[in-house]
Amino acid sequence: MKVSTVFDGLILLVLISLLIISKDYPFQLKLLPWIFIPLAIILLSIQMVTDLRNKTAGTHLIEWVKAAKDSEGKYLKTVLWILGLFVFLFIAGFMVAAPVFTVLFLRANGESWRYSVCLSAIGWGIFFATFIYALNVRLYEGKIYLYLFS
Amino acid sequence: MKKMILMALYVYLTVHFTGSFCNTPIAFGEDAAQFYKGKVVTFLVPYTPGGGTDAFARMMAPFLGKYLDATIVVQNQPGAGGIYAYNHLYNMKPDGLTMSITDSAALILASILDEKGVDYDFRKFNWLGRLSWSSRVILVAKNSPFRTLEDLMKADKIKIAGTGKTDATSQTIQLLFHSLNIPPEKVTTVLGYSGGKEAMMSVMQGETDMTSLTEDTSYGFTKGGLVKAFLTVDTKRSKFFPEIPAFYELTSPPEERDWPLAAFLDLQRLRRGMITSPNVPADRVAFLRNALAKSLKDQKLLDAAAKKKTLIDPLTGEEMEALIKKKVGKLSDQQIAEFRDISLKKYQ
Amino acid sequence: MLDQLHLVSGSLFGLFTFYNLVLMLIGIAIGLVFGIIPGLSGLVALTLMLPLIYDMDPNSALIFLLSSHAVVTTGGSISAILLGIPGTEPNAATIIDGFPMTQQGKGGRALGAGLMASMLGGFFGALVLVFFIPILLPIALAFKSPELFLLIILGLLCIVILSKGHLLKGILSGVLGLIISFVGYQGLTAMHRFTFGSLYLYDGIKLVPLGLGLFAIPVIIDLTAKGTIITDKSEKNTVRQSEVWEGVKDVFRHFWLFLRCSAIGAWMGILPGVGGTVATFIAYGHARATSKNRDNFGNGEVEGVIGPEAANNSKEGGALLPTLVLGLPGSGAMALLLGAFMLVGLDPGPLFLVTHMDIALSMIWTLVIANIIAAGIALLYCRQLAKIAYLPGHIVASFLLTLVFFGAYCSRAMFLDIVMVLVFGAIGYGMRAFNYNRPAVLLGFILGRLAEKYFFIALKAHGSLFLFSSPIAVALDVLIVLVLFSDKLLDWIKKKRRRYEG
Repeated sequence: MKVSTVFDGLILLVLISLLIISKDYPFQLKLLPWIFIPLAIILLSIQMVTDLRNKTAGTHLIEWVKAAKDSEGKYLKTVLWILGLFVFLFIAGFMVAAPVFTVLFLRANGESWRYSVCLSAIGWGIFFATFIYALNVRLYEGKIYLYLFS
Repeated sequence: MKKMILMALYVYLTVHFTGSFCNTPIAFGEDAAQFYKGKVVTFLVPYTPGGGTDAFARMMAPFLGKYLDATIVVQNQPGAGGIYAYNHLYNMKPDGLTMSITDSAALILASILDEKGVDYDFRKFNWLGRLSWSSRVILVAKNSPFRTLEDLMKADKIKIAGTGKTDATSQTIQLLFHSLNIPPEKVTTVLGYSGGKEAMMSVMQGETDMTSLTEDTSYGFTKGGLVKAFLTVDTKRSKFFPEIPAFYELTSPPEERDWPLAAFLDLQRLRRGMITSPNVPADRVAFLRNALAKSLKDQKLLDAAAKKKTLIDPLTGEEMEALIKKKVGKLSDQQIAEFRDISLKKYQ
Repeated sequence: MLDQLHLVSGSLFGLFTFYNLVLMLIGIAIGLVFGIIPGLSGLVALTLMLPLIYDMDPNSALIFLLSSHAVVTTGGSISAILLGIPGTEPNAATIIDGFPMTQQGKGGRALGAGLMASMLGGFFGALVLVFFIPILLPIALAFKSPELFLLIILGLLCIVILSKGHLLKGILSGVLGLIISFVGYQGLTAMHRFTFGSLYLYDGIKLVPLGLGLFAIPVIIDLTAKGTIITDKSEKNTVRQSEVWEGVKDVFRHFWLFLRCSAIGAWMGILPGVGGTVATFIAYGHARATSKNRDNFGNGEVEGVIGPEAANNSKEGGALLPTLVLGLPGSGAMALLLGAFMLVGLDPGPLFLVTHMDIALSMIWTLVIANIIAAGIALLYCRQLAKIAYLPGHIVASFLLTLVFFGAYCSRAMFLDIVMVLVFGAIGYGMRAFNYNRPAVLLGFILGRLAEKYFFIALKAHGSLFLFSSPIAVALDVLIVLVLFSDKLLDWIKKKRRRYEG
């Protein structure tokens, strides 16, 4: 099973479910979706068949997993960092998560503590000065803050 | 070195969290004026910035702040035609520190017409007051064949431009047609335009025959000669269009045909209002109502509004509540169903 | 004649008070920054600047706002070219050829071309604004919903042109974009489509989270995991000023192309309701169609940068036209600008030009001068800017990721928008890996709802023969057919010419 087929297959599933969901919609709501979703399904199916026929190109799912693990799990680690920032933002809010994340991230990628903290402080300092004080942007406060103070 | 950084981090976090103690609501039962003094009050605007409602809110916010003795922060919370903000206000902690400007008619209509996602009971909101309202004017093309009511009755085909099924641009005209007993076969409603201005543009281009806009918006376009005003949908003439007749001047439709339009117009008279969450302590509501009423009488605000040709026509919160109970509260379920039917199905 | 000259020069000198110049510079700075940071758009910038104009006199307020607005896409071109992330929506088409140029180490040249095209494009747009004022009304009257619908179809056809390499995947991408745009409430039927009862999806999927997810997340992943986005490692890690000048000269080498694409941009800007991003894609499509190196497009042809960038600055001049003359905003930013007019006590509408010609003129001058200053500054610092592409990936990524989340949250203050970025980030990564055409997705997304809107309006108002309801509509029909078969047509012409010459 090629990786591309898995990806395409997931999209196909979504498209088919959209079609099923919309089958009872009134005419005007349904018209354009029912033109384009079947079109997409047809194109996608042709694509998938061509892909499967083409034995040479494309990575196999097993090889792909192995490759992901091989490159020091770098891709996996990156994804985890991204998700981590997301959770961190959610809990602690932007003003805390932004500088702290930058410091930790730079550190984890090999920079010294001093460099990380300085760069983060300068960068976010400028950012907060302009956006918060000058322009008064509202930032997400984080669940902790909201829980304690609302 | 590491210790220093950890210390700095610790201090930073502490300061951040402590600093926000300034905004903790104090216990209930305190004097309302004392409660609001120096606080930050959030003034929600349920639309994207730049629109008429937003401009109005920003214009009056500093005055409200003056009479509340608090800092007002205007915050846009667009989405779902306002429903998003109304839901948020309805479900939030009732400390009275957040209020919203509303298109009261849209707010009430959304729940009457059973819009999905409405999570509030319009009766339970604390109505702080009405800011202004405006009549709707029907606009036609400059060389339009429609000049009198008879022209409407005799026409074979009338095309109305509207933005959405539940929007006042087309709904006003549809209800008016119902009062006049114009048969649905003669009417086509073309929907989908993004806003009253686009609808007006289509009338100007001749793509449709008429649409309805608020009197202040209409004024700009008629003065520039793009379109013409046909009539004002109200009992009295519009201040902006003294030479254009009002609908109820020209005819008095029987009550059993006219009640949907009348109910709709009652709602339109509540149009721009302010609300705060249900269950806010009564003394705070009274204080807010008071401050609002005073700020709407402030001469500086009235001057600024006059310069921008913005209407201010206040009603107190108590008067608003009474009006809502009287006009809307007394509609029976069957009437509501009929209203829904006329607005959503009849003239499509 | 003499007092018109007086008026024109008067407004120019009025511009040059110290106060106004400072305001303009600040506005330009804000515009460039918001343009560069992906996810923050010109609209957000204007929103934030609105509260600041309260106590200004009308002239200064408008200079302030307009100078920011005029240069947002100039800033956006920088991130589009260097990072492959559209800084603002109209920069999406610039990525297609701009980013590959950076990857091949030619980022300086791409920047030079893009910035110069932006500067001159803005100038062109301002000229259009001046000369088209008298004929705006007939144009506006003539382009009704069938014509607008056909223009949108023309825009959608550009998807086909965009995807010459992988036609199937390209069209599929575009269609997927269309499908994504259908989520949400439809005013026509007063019903929800594909919202699963969620109030969040009521207004549909929004461009900012979609764009950020599709374009920014894969770039961030690359920057961290691979360490860089440059693919062609043979070039050394510096950008020479001469490279940038090459890019600038490129605009003049393709001057006719530049003019035509600016015209496309200005024209689409004039028509309220179609949107400026379409113009950039049409300009791109046109650049490709008329280029000798047609088949290399998508791999770093400088014409693919010049076209969209010229269009996205010239459209601003065009968009001001209906806003000022008719009081009808052509885009969200224009609506905000109109709101600003009201805030400072001006009356936008048909009489504006009669009563406030001086302000209108100062707005035109602002467009010109702001574009020149912004592009000038950017060009001066081009080398430094281009170095961003060569920085160690994790440094850029550390800030970029948070900025992306910030940008996503900023436009609507809804945390779920950040979730949406993650969702589309995953999808976007896959799309890139498997050769889907992400700009096509964006184009389909932007045009989907719009096409549906005009389709139903045209159908209801003009009946089922709306495609033939006016001479302009028929002309557009013919144009569409020509474009569909443009490749075959051009090949046929070439063959005939060869046979004639041979």
